[in-house]
Amino acid sequence: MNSPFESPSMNRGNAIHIVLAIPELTCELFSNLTSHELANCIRVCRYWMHHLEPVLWTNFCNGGRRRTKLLPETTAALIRNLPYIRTIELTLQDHAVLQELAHSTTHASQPGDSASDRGEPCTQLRRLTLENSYRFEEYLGYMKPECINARDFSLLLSNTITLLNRNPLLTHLTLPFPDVKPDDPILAAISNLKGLQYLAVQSNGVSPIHTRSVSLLLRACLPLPEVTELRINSHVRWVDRVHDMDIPDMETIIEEAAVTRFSQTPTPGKIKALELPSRPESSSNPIALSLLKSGLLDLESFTLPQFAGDSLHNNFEQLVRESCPNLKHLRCSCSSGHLDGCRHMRDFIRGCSGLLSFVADAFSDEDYDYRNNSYQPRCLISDLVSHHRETLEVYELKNYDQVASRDLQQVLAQCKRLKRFHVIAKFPNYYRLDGDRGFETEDATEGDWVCTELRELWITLGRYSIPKYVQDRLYEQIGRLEQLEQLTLDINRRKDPQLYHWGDEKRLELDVNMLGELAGLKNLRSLRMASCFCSNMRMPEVEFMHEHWLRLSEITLMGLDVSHLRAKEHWQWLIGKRPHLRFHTIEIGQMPEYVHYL
Amino acid sequence: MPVILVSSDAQEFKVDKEVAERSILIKNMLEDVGESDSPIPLPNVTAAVLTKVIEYCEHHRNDPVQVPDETDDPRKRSNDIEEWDMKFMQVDQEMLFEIILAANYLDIKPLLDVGCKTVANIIKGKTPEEIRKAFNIVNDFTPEEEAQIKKENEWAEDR
Repeated sequence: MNSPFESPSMNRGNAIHIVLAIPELTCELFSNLTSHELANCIRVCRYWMHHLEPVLWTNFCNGGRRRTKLLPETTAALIRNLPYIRTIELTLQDHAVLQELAHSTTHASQPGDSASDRGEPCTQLRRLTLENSYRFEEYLGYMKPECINARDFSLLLSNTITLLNRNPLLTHLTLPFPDVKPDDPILAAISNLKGLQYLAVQSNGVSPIHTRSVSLLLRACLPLPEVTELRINSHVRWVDRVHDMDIPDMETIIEEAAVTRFSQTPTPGKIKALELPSRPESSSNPIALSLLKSGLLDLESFTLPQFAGDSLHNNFEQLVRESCPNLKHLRCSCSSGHLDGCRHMRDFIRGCSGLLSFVADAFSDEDYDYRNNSYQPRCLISDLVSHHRETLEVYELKNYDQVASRDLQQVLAQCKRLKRFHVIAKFPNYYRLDGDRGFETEDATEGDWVCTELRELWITLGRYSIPKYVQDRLYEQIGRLEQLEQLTLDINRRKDPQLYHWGDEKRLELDVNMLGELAGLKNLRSLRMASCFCSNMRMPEVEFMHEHWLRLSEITLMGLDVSHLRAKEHWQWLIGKRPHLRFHTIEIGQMPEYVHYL
Repeated sequence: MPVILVSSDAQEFKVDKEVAERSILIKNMLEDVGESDSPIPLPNVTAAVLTKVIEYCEHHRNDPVQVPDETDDPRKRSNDIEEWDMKFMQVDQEMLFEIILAANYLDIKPLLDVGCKTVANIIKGKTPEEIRKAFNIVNDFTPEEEAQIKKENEWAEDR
């Protein structure tokens, strides 16, 4: 029997095979396929396998939500294709594979262990990502990292260091970061990556990292001349301030880093994207403030840490104006109950000019006033609109808690360049039963929406309170968005997610009259709905979709099994008419848009 | 001023300069030679294929020049093909691949893109057996081999 991995013999005369014989055409031809489709192609015949395996293995990605348990057979293919790998994306659960990667490099370079046994080593890596895998904790409503034991973790680290030392061309690195001491080899390995452009560190899901480790990491990577993006993941929970005694002086670290960085190249790049751990204690402020004051930043994108009010810079707004003139993308987290009404964020929003995107996780635009036992508006959204309405293109609130209908309306009615508007409620949302959480009151429809370039709209309707006439007006406004490609209709889930598709949200059911308002959405490709919107759809609704939405290629149901829908005659009719229309189901809590990481 | 192109089977095609210059290869040749009436030989392209290529270039004569974007991730690119291009590409497979080869040789990036997307669309959503059928390919794996390869690459499966 021939090995399937030997040079191909049959099928050469075929027309497509003349193209496959030209490597740059093979890349071009198959660059339009996903790795799943490539894997199917590899099974077609020996000739295809021979030419396509290197294409597939260029990106060995088994990370994040895609992760699957790797089979022993994978290792054989991995070793065969080591020299082609440019990108590796794995979770900590795949630490054994990392061992294989690191070991293969060792073996191949040892005498007596021929290269054909082990394949060539992996030395051409450009991107390495090692991340946590997460498990959805239903009772908590968020994703929790899956842990690996301490022994495996230390083995993973030493293998990572081996890989880093053998891959000097690495440009992108994402790592779980351990607590480190000044002479830790991982720091030395990072500081030797002279071409590094992107560094992201996350918690390993077991122990929180220490402020000192963050300082040491900054000392290792800030001097690297090519580093332009630095993300120290905000999911990290920092340990108490007792340990903050050993933090090397941040001002000194940054000063030294600037000298080294600027002495290496005549025109050194600056940090364009920065994420710092969110921490409402005072000790994260020195890092952020020192960086803002240093000459190391020319930020285009910033994930704002939380500042404690008492240590805030006196004139923060002015500092932001001077240090971030080119900031275009702002991310932040400002949950309810946070101190000082997120004053630093207000200052930040006012200090920068011309924001293109604003993304907030766990957002609340109200502040709880303990003295008066009442909620006070923070006015973050209204500040955002008044300062950035001419430029804002992306507006995303994930896991929002308290936001006023009126403010959301302001965004849609004033930001005319808006391309994406996502307003997604917290899951589950059970803090309060009064007040606004998304589109709930008639304020939501005051005045016409001006964002006629909008491509993606995700709106969350109140399930109890939204009156019918407000709904009608909402659909009328949505119907005017002729460029819209993706529409998501969601409802505000309360404490019990089981109630999701029962009961009193009957009034949200979409009938053909409401759909009629949406006839103008000629570019609609994707429709996503909470199940209550479509539970009562019949033939007229389905016919409407077929008649008016010629480009519709995807219907996603949130919280309802697609098979319910497929079983119904009218949907079958649509499937018959539109064989390429795809249906998806997504469990509510596991949608990337909802996922809340610990 | 028209340009004369000569196919591998010695047929002459008279086309407008701006049409011919959709091909970067021809554009560079014309720049190198300067003003000249001499025909341009294209020894890698048959008359049948050249007819199709010229048809494409005629239709797209006024398109803006594509700027290659290095940061663009090819896997995120859309597989949408314009309606005219889609009709244009409704040819038998041999011609389809001939067009791709010609587009590559003549350096006509947009045509190469359309060709590649057309092939990708044939492959998309198909099982290995369906792909074999679509391209008339003989399966030369044993069932055991095929099973092993499936396992090796299972990480790439859709989830």
